Amino acid sequence: MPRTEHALLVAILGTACAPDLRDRLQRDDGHGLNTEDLAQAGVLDTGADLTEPQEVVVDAQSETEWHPYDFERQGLVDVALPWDLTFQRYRIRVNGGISGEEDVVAANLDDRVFDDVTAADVPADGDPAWVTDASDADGDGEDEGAFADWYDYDPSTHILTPKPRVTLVRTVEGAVVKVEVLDYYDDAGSPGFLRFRWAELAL
Amino acid sequence: MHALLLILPAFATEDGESTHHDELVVTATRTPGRLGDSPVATEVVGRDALEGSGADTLAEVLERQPGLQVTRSFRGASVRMNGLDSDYVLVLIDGQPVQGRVGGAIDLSRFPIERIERVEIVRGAASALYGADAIGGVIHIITRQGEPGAAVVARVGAGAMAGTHTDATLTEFPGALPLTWLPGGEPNTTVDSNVSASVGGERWSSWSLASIQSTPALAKPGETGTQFDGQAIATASERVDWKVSDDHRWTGQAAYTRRRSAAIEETDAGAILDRAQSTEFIEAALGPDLLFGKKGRLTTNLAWSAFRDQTFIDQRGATALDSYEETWDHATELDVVGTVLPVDRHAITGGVELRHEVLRTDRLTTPEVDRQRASAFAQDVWEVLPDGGTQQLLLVSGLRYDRDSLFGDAWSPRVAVRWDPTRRLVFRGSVGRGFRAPPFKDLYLSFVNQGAGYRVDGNPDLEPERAWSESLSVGWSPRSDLSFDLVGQRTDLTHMIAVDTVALATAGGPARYSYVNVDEAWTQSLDLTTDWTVNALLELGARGGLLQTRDVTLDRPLSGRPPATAGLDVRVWSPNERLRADAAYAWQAASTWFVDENNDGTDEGREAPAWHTVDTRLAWHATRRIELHAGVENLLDTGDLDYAPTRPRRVFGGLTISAASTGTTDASN
Repeated sequence: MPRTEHALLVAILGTACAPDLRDRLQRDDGHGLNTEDLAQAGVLDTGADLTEPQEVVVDAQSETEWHPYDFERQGLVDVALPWDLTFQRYRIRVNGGISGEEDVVAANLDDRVFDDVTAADVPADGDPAWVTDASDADGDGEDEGAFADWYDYDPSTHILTPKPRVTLVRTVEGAVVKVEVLDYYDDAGSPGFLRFRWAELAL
Repeated sequence: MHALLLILPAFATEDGESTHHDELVVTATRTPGRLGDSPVATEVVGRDALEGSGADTLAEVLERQPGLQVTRSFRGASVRMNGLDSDYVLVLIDGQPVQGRVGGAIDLSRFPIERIERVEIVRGAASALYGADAIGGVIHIITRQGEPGAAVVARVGAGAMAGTHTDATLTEFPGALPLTWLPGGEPNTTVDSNVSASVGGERWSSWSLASIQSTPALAKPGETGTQFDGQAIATASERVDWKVSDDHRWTGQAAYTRRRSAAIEETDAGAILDRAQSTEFIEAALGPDLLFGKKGRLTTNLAWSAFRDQTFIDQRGATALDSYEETWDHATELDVVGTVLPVDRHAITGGVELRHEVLRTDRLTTPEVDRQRASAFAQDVWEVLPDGGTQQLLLVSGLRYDRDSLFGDAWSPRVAVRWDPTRRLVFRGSVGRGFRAPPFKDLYLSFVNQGAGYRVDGNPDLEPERAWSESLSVGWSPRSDLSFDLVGQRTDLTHMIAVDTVALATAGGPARYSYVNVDEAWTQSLDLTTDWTVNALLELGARGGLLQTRDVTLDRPLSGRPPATAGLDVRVWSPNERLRADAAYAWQAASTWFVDENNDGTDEGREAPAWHTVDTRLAWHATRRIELHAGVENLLDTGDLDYAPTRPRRVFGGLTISAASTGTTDASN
């Protein structure tokens, strides 16, 4: 059938047949229920008390975009500004090693409760070690780093669950913050919404 | 008796009264012939049996046929034949392949019983006559046609699900979804109503039908996600027959069917997805049928069909998992089929088919693909023994050639023999080659299932699947009111298209799959059927079947095939009270399903228990023009939604009113 004839046929049928389902059914429900809680653009506030725990949700759904976050500015920042962590889907990187030009490092404290972690837990003797992001060393296709394995993956359900872990991060400015990843899904069940809480330790 | 002459009956004979053995069938040879003389075994479900079954759609009718297994999913009801999936079963409507396979399956619930005059079932490879997909067998729907005079039949039917696997969570269906615009939109109710009109004169007739059906969704109690879609199907069809002369007739028909369905799914991450689906089917066909005395017959048919499918997934409270997909598939086909009797005791049927098909969808790796197929076939039916003897021996040899723009050539030979040593005994045997063309989906579609977390990509280098099929049968009628049929069949499949794991699922992305021609499998079955007309008031039918299957590649049985089935049908008439009662019992042995439940790349075996169903129906002709009926489907309320997906117990009833200006009009169920 010639292309023009086919196009005409489809056009006639398209108008004669059932309407587009989207026209009748689509909900105007925007993003997840916690849209308002999503991380806002960071602003420097030198008077803020950063030792108070903060909970943040980063919309990291994009497969291509990275979303840098700075603790001192308490929000997402442009990549040109100093930043500490950056997010893309389930990936979390620090501004150091192969991921950034600064010297941000992190150390994992497994099976620890967020509220119980204090300045006394900051490792001074290399246990646990401070690490930064490095190239894939174990051949699993993923780069190495303190946040490389923050989750447990269930292949039968494809669900990512955060490990019971608190991670210490030494920021660009030299402060130490404790970070706990809480969830990868928003309240509507959408993946790519990284929710975490953090607080600066009083050294 | 001269069997071959009966291959070419006058049109008048087709329209006249006949006994069961005089009934005309067309599927076995592609030209009408008496059922009793058919060289290839043909099972027929006639109008009377369709009406008495209490079924609403073709799916429920086929559930009761030996060797057939109807499976239900959110995309409708599909049929397995002798253990072979619906991908390997060709479904025809008035000779034309039915368009719109979804996931390889034709949804049989889209054909309302009211549209069907009879269903012919031919088992075994029939690619020598019909080409692609006719490996397991052919299911041929013959539509009703108008009669002289004028008659209108209106039927209103409704039912209520009263079983265990329905659930009140279904009230969570989004308000805009389809079930609310029908009376059956209320949870747990079904609706099956239609109006048909027959108008005809001496040389023409018209048959019209408008039909709606709706079925609620079914779910396990306590689960949010539905297992079956709730669905509503609307059909409008028209058939016109025009007898130009005694040896020249035209038939034209058109039909539009729309199926809307809705489901709620819950992902493991807790996302609630409202799934809405709209599927439309459009069919149109026109062609003349010419008789040349007793020397030949020529049938031409130009058919066009289209299939449009919309799937819209709307995530509650978010848009991250929203998706919309639209698929258009339309085909134009020209068939010319002729039969001649060139020399004594030979009937040769031959024909050509030209087909053009276009698929357009966003899911393709290219925006649009098309295929052309040209086919030619020939079949000789040779009456080996001379006319007049008590014995009859028919030898059928056929060959078909298909050339397809996508996969190249396919040759399909078949040899069949029928031997009647006595009038009450008939043996049949056949060996044939079959093939299944790689469908568009496997070749080109790219599909992502967000909820389940996998992605499937087509492989344009796929070749057709191939099969050899053999069957042997014996039919014995010790008395005119008693018959036994034993059918054995084996099919060996090679080059089967299998899902190939490209990459296992990781946190970084879904599992990725594609298709390759690697698998081999076989099925073999033995089915015994008996029909006994005890007296004018009672008919009994019994069937039993054994099935063995093997996935040679994986060295295990095919998933979900019951190794044994049995059934019993009872039909009782009470003329004085104008009552008719039908009861059907079906049993299915335990079967093993293989499902990769933990997604580790290895299937786990799940044992599904044996189950049985009982259906009953009572019809009362209150007057000649009014019939009331009531019944219970799945009286024992058996089955489950994982491995025995029957509908739960359903109580139904209805009223049929008919009016006719001349002649008589049978009230139908």
